[in-house]
Amino acid sequence: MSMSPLDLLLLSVGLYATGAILSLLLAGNDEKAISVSGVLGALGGVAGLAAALPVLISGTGKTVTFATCFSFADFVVRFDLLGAFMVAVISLMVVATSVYSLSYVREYVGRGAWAMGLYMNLFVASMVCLVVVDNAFWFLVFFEMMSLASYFLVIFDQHEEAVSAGFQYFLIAHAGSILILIAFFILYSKSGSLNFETFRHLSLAPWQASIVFLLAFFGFGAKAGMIPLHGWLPRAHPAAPSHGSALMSGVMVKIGVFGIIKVGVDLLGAHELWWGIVVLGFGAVSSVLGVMYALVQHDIKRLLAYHTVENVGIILMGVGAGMIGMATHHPVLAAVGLLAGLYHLLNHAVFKGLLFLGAGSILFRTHTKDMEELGGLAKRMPYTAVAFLIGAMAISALPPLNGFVSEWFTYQSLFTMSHDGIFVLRLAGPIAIVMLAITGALAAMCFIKVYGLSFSGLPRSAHAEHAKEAPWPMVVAMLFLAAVAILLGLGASVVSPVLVNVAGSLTQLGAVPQVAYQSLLMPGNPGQAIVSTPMIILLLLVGVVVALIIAESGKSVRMSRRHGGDSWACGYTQESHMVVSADSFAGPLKKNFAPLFNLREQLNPGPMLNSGVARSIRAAERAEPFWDAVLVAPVLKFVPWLGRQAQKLQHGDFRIYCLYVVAALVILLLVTVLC
Amino acid sequence: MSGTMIVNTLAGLLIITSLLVICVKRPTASAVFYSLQSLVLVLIFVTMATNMHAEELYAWSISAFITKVVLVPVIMYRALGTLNDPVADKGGLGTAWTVMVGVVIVLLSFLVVSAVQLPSIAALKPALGVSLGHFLLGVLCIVSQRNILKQIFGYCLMENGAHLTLALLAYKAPELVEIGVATDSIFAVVIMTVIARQIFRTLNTLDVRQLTALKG
Repeated sequence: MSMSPLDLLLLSVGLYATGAILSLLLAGNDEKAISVSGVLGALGGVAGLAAALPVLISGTGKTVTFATCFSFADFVVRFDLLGAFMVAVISLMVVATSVYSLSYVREYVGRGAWAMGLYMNLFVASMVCLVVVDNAFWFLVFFEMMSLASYFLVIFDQHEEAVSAGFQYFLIAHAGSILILIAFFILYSKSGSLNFETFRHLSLAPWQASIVFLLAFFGFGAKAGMIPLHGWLPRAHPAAPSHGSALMSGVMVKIGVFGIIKVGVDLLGAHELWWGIVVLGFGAVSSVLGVMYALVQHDIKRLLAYHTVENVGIILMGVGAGMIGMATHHPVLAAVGLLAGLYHLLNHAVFKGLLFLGAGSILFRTHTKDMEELGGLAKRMPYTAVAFLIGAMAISALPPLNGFVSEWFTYQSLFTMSHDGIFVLRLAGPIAIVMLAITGALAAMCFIKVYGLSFSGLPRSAHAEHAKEAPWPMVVAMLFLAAVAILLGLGASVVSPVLVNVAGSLTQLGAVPQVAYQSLLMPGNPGQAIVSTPMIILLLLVGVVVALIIAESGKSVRMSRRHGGDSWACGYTQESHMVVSADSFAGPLKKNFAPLFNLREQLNPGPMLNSGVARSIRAAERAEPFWDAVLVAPVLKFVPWLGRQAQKLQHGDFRIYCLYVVAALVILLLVTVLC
Repeated sequence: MSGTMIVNTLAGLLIITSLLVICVKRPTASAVFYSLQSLVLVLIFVTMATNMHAEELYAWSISAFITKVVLVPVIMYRALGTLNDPVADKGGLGTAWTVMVGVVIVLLSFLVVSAVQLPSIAALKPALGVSLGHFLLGVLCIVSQRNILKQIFGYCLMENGAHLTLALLAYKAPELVEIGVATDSIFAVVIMTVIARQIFRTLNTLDVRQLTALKG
């Protein structure tokens, strides 16, 4: 029996939904709920991969429409190349995180672990539906489902910071939703339908299209965590459980990028040049500031969250270059730029997911996220250390790993732009290149710090001292992602033609450029640059082999064992406080770039939102007395006054009461007589 | 002298006796004057019964004589004679003022009654006016006097007024109604007397200004 990609997609979503519902039904039986939701989630991920890969490889998607009882809300499923690519990214990550959750969530047994299975599966299912649905109404419904499910993951621990972070996330996510809603509404008011297909054929005036684009860009940008809308991200991601952070950081922020591509490129066609420049600019700023803020963190998950800001910036640089290529009708720039963006999107999902899972394993065993309390874990958690090291190398864009490939394509697209573009682009390109270079350097520095402080040296706390290797499902999940990271680097010449087809399906600028030839990678034009990741690994291996040969040949003349005593500490006894700390490592940077760090406080919309709320409360407090004085106070005065007047009737002397009786009688008689 | 003239003249006498009830200081004296007034009322009933050939009014006059001329004054004389509060006897509306107000009330009542167009009592209009005025004089007694015992008499005056009105307008009414009215007044007087004695025993006052516990 063969199933079509759409059947498999339905199966995948069905498995997630079943996992969610069964978790709910197993409320109270945490152990079973963990197993059921984890296994069904992983199976759903496998089904999703099986659905997406044939579409990506064959290069042909499919669209089906289901009418619903609402004429405006046709349920249109468009399983095109972009949708299939996103489904593949999500599914890949879900496979890893679901396996990981089998052990990791045991930490939460007795604290509502079943609910985590429910929210995780709903979260994933809504993301899968979101990327393939082709109707604005359903898009927003799934977008909201995704935001809410992830909100509950963020506040899962219920401690003060988590709830506060969750609230900030909730505010920013919904502010974004409103912008997106307005953008879709403008398109709807012009086309008369909520189906994306009608949006694609709409011819809008440039200013109208620009408004829609800017609304969508900032709306989805809030979700993507680009600076300056990133404030929620470094708080929300660390608060969520680690496999949830992996999905939020690895996948959910990509939904923001996906939305920018969907509206800017797919629906609006990226006609205006300045749109691409805006995307590129925000991307460049996000990448540099993101990595800088990451460097000074102590909390390992918070640090990784800032790196998400950085990498979303890098992805946006690629997307921006691609949009510039589309606006200037430069097919190679358009395709390579989008290829770089999409490739980095995939890569970042893999290595950031891997790193969050690694951080989760450390947290699972040591119960601390503070790197000052770690150290020496490489000996105690060797597999975790290896996987984390691969992830750290990948995110630092070291060849031949996957991060290197996508950043290489990003560089190449920027080179192409600087070379072929008009004056503005020739100016913007090099600036972006420099910023990307700074980002890469700082990222490498940052991960030297993370790996060094966490895994090398001596343990700096009892927690780290007594750490053990993580349980096997967690190790398997991490090694799986590490292997994927290596394969996406080594097999870049296989992957990039597939992704450039996805990019080509978006740009609609004729034949897609050639980006790979056998094991060589090139940015459309072999004259500009070529690189081969297998070749790099061979060269690296040569270095290792040469070293081994020298060691082997010099074995006879080697001195006897020298590393018996304490480390050399300039004549003093080695003490624990001499060890490099997170603060001392990043200290010079913090001092040199102080203005940029101050900028963070000013750009963070969280305090601005808070002060806005406070201001409106104060305004309400000022406005309140006004109405009090005008409306409430007179009433308050009048009622007692009326009471006092009524009291006068209650004179107490019963003769008065007799008079009342008589007066009443007389009045009644008069009324009878006169009427 | 015709029967109607006698009735109207006796009605005028009612006004004078009621003013006496109001104005005398001691409650016991009021009881005596009340008895006198009730006797005048009984005479009115008898005259009317003779004049109008209304046999029922004889029964009325007999029951009224027993209750109003004998029982009520005796009860009040015996029960209230021992109660004495000089403070309560003072104050209130002065005699001159009471008479002036009484005159105004009677004039107003005549004015009101003049509008009534009933052929059966065309000749007895002054008596009807007196009956209404009498009722209002009872109210005046209640309102103007400080002594609660006087207010019982005020109630009795109102009752007499109402009784006269009833006799003038509905003298053919069955005895049952009359008996009801008479016993009603007796029971009311007995209850009020008991209450008055209780008040005096508890608070040692008959002054209505001291009795303001009803005030909310």
